[in-house]
Amino acid sequence: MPAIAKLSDEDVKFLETVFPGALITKPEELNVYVSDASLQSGSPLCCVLPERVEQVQALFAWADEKRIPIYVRGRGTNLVGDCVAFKPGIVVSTARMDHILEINKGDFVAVVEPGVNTAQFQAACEAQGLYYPPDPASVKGSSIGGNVVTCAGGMRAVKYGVTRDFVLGCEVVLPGGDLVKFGGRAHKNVVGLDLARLMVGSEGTLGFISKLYLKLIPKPEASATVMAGFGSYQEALGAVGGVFDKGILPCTMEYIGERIVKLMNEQGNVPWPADKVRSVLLIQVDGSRETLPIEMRRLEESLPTAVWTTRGLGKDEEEPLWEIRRRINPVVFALAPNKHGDDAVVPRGSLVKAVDEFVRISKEYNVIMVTYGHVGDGNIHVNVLYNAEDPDEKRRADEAIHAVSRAAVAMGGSESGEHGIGVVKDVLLQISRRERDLMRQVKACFDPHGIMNPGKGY
Amino acid sequence: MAKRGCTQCGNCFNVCPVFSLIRREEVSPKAKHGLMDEGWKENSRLNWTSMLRLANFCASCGRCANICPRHLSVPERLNQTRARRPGWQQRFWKLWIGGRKVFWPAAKYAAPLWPHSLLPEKLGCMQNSALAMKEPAKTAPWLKLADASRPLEGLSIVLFGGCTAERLRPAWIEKASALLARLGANVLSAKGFGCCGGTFNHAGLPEAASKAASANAEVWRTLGRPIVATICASCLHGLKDYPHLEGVLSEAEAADWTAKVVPLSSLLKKASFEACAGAPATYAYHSPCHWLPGKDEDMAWLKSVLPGLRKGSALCCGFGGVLQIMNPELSRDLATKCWDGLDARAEVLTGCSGCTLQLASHAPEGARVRHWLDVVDA
Ligand SMILES: Cc1cc2nc3c(=O)[nH]c(=O)nc-3n(C[C@H](O)[C@H](O)[C@H](O)COP(=O)(O)OP(=O)(O)OC[C@H]3O[C@@H](n4cnc5c(N)ncnc54)[C@H](O)[C@@H]3O)c2cc1C
Ligand code: SF4
Ligand code: SF4
Repeated sequence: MPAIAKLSDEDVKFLETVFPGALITKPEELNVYVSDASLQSGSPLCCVLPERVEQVQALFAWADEKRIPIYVRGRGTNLVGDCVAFKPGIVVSTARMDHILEINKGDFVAVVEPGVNTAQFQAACEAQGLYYPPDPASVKGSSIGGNVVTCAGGMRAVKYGVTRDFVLGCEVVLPGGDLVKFGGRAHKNVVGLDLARLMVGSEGTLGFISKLYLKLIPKPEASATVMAGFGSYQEALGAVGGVFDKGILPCTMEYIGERIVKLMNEQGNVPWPADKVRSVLLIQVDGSRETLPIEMRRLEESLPTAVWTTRGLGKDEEEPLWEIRRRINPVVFALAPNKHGDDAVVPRGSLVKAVDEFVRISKEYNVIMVTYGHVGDGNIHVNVLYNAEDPDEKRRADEAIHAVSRAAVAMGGSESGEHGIGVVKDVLLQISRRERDLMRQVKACFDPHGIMNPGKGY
Repeated sequence: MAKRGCTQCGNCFNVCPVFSLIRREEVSPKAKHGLMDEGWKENSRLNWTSMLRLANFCASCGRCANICPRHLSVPERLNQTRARRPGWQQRFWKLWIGGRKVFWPAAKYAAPLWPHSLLPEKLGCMQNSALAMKEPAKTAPWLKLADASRPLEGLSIVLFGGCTAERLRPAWIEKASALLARLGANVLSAKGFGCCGGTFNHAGLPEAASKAASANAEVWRTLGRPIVATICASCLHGLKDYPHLEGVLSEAEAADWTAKVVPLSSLLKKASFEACAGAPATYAYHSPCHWLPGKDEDMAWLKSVLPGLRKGSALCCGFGGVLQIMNPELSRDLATKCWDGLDARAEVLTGCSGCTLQLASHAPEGARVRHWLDVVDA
């Protein structure tokens, strides 16, 4: 596809007609649309802010005809460059398609526009006693549309699953301008191929989601948290299996690795005995008020190797424990000014083996590495901390993080459990060329001229 | 440690009243940081004037800094950016004179602090026009002291009224002083206090802000470092900032200042008050942004004496710093949206001079907003 460097006067006229007052062309106004949370930069030709699906249809018919790349943008919090216009093209922001159209208590279904903020949507559901569990750490910043198109996961995934598990259907504008509907408000639906879930995690490469049908569940009545300290990471990770063996399915299960616990111990103000605890598990269960105490007792019994435990019953008591989990991000920057974050996943039975291997990699490449994350579903966050101003240190950090991805895949895991591929990772590390080509053929059915987020994902 | 840059996490979008109103990413706090990062670069590709025009889409409410994991503050950065702009000070003065009357009291205080060569000629006319901002018709107060105790006996207190109250609503100052005296305080003369300096900071006039702060600190020193009671959330915010301004307070004074600068409500809560006949059927409260969420001591006190007090919309009134001058349309739109979330049938109380004037001047037909001091009987 030949790249166009500039919009012609005629192009601008067309866009102004379709998006009156909602076409952005000035460089100062466009500045924010140049990058996303990957902190990479591109060169958008302009940005448009549709409020109605017909505007998107008109744009997509025109852009397809003209072969102009389209970059759909929720709130730009993805970490892999999925919103960045590496080839000049048009950014389509969903910021003004931000209405919750329906929250239906009878159907346990919500119908929303894609630009609705995740945290605001969750609050609106909870106000009616309903629950939308997917909880990426970015809920305050992200949009529901962005969550769907990256298949965002979060801490609660171990029990409730990821965004994919809550998408019943969607309406999509295809390149060329057609509006199609995949799935709908029915909780069960096996008619034809499941194209709604194909849209999930598609990284903006197939079409524009203009409406979403989401599954809701009743809001759990109560929750409780156990925090357990261990003498080593091997003991902490070794204890994970024991919890499930007892028949407990926690709603979240977080791990804090040795390097971070050491930092926290040094900084003080930790609830555990700093001389004994070198690694930590944070486990939350939820359910009905009557059954929760029984569940908590069994949970505590399932952690015989813990050298220390504490518990919090209900939000107020749990909050200080989760506050420690939130400290991780600021704490690690005490190690070095720059960070590579990785979100590898390994099969849950291989957690100890995986972290052993990551420790070996950190030694091989002589880098500072920390591990933590959602071990309940095998999703370990590996951060490599480095100083970008030292070229040798940066090179070693880059190589170490790739080695982590390779190791996770070699163990039967995944190089990315949450953030996606975008432009920062290589799908061929995990899938074959044949499989990648199949994906590209599927894309060609939706987007024959390759205008949707070119060069991203697969 | 230097502040680390914006990670583009987007946490600041929801809390920003301007983003919520306009729903375009280019006015989000994140965008303003990106814009100023770019604009501060040597040989920036962006046009300085357009950049600043866009950055001016800010009500200085401070909510973004409160939620940002990196504690990045748009108002702080904007103040610095304005101050860096060549020719900015002269330009701002012109805008100020031609701008909203509400700022004129502050401008009047700024004038003596200003190098003469920079001052416009027509300064004199400002005062008259400012005085023309008439007070609304008085109604009887309905929140009365319920006992004759003197819980402030033995305390020396000076009242910091703030330039807006001093020029436009002197009755607030009289009443606050009378209340303190009735509760037993030794009320010291506030002569010499001027503008808190907050407005100058927002305007990108840091020297004027520091001079104003130093003058006020000197008055406090001369009085023997008494308790300073404020009646305005924005003044309180401005005063609380003094320890961060260079050369205003010594280290030992800074700790003392932080402990002694308090909202008037924190002193009144030592006495009992009760609503009496004449109280309106419903009353609501608009929490000024300069009280960060959950920290509003005025609201806590009012709720304790008026259990029926309704919470307002929690939106920004749009007065914000110098927004009325920099972007009057946005200021008006924010005020209108703020009123949309308030019960216009209720009597709306608030605790900031700026919020009171701003909400009053955009009130829908029949709606009424007052500083809570207006309803307290001394
Ligand atoms: C601090 C932080 C924490 C994070 N934590 C997590 C986490 O715990 N779990 C996790 O999974 N991710 C996490 N992320 C990554 C990110 O938040 C998610 O990927 C999020 O789902 C992106 O939402 P968004 O609205 O910002 O989407 P954007 O970044 O704007 O877009 C993401 C992708 O979706 C496409 N898109 C958006 N809307 C539409 C639409 N309507 N139609 C078609 N395509 C669309 C875009 O083209 C792009 O390809 C985190 C990011 C940050 C910055
Ligand atoms: S100070 Fe308030 S109005 Fe200004 S950018 Fe921050 S949140 Fe928005
Ligand atoms: S909250 Fe702070 S770091 Fe996050 S986008 Fe806003 S300014 Fe940037």
